[in-house]
Amino acid sequence: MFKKILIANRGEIAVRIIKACRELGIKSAAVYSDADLTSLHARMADESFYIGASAASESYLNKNKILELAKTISADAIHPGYGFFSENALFIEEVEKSGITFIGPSSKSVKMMGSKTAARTLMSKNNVPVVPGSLEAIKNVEEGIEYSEKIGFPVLLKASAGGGGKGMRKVISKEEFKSAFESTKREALKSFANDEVYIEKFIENPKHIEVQVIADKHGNYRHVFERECSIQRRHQKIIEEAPSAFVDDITRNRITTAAVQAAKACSYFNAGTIEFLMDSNKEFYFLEMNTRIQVEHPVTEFISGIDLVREQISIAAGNKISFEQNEISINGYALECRIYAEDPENNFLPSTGKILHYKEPNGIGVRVDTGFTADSEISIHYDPMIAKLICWDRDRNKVIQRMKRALNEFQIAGITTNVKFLNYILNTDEFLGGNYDINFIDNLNYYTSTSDKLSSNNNEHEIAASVLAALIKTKKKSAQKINSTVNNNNNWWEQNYE
Amino acid sequence: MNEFVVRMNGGLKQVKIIDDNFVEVDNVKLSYSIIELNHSKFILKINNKIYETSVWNKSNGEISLQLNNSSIDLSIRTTLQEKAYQLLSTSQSNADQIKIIKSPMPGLVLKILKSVGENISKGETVMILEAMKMENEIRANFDGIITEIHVSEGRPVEKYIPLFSHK
Repeated sequence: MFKKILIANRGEIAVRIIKACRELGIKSAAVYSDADLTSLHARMADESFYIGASAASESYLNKNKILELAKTISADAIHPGYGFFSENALFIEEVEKSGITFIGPSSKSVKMMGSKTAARTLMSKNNVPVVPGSLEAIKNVEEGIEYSEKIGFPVLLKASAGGGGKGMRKVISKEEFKSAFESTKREALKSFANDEVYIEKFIENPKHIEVQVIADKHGNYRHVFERECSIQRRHQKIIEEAPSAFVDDITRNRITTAAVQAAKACSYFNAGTIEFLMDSNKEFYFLEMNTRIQVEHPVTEFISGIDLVREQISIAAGNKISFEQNEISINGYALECRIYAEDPENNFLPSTGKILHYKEPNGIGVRVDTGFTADSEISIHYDPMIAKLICWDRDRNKVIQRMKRALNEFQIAGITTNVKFLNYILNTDEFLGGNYDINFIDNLNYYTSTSDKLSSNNNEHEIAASVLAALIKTKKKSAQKINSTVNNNNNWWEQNYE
Repeated sequence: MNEFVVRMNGGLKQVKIIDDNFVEVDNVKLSYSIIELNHSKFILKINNKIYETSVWNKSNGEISLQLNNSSIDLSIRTTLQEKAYQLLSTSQSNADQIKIIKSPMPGLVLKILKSVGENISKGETVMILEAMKMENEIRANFDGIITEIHVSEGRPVEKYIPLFSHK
């Protein structure tokens, strides 16, 4: 097994990897930028190394600095987390050459799946169904319009090197094409350093179903069932669940078989995810393969009992997968809510600043993965996700109730979050009925519906808030009063609080 | 002196601190006690309910606070200040209301889609601000006309910098 792992990432996934390292008795080495001085991963790791300015290109995306650091500190493996270098074949190739183990697939597999267009071709050849569309990058606006008209609007413009919801745009008509094409190219260039864009037929009202696969270097392949991630905004997942309420046993059998087939087609090892779109007839189409650990991996961990990150590390060290396919089964139901620093009532604009107060929910079946705590800074430089709240219970209705309870316990002050919005989604008939597709949030009229649906216990809060404000306004006087309150009246405080 | 007007979520509440144990909100008498944990955190008890609270961003009577899981922005005035405010706002109400849209976050002005004098309708995108690797649309929040653009394309902006004004 490894002695020291360099974690080339930040935030909650870096923390998650540190925890796995600790359980395996491996030393963890974190890297951090200026903006992450206050973040949790840097405080938690056994060793923490400063790698540069806040801009990702100066720090987390500085290939040479990270590789050099790994050598200097004698790390024998690098865990890339998700994002950053996790799916960068060039980086992985250099890690391979340096003699350090990359905790993930081979650069060859990543290359095969990294270009979305090449992956589509490969899948077609291996009998994995794909969405109709271009197999190559679109060269210019004219070609794009011509192609879109051939397969019919609406179409989806996608960055060939893309993923994680960035660099994707729906185009409804010919008129919109030019500006959408240019802005997708710009975003693609910035996020993936590659401005190639291709076109896919836009599938109406599909569900997003993905399959967790895992394979070792000895040619063993397993799947760890499916996840449904249909609750998305701008192709960014917000709520994920496992298993999918929509997938029956026969469909599950078909889709997991296709996923393992896809992993075999690129001689995959380590943890990976095959994403599919599923239409209302339960027909599914290959979307892409994510050749890394996913943000939403905890829901799979909850229902299967498999620690996916620990498995990743073990496989990278040359061990076989720790379980047989028939040894695992779906136990209960898990939900994940992504807590973002954004304002749902103001067009979801990101919110930045210092977290002034932070308190996590807990209790049976509740897990929080985060990279922040009180006094951490949410900066403009990185993804606005603050935390993932994951809940487990024996069935879907119960886990939804538990999630609502846990969301209500979450206290984050100083920045605007989407917690109320998540709660709102969990209360909709569509969500409760499992009756939704990837356009759910676009079709939701949250702005106008919030005031009436969320106001039930608001009045009580407003009364308390106005009292608090009044007391603060008279603070000079109340400074003495507070002291006397503590002295005279401290029984309720000592008995009831915490 | 201990009477206040508090505005939040489009509504208004009248608060009167009676003494160290009782307060009146909209003429309803409530018992309260408060403990200051540190300069920004308080434990507040109203009747039989205890709230964990944090308070920040105080200026000109604007207060943001966290009460258990909910964030609330409010403004508070003493009844005297409120009277002055009422007088002032009635004298201004005839003038054209110019609204300044400020940058909600630090970022880069990527594209400006409208120019001064152009008509805009509510929800229409006026400019695109890039932050967190995403292109964010800054929209008009009512129908009107652009009176001023305060920034130019390619310019990095801090939070709360005026972007454009409309009336």
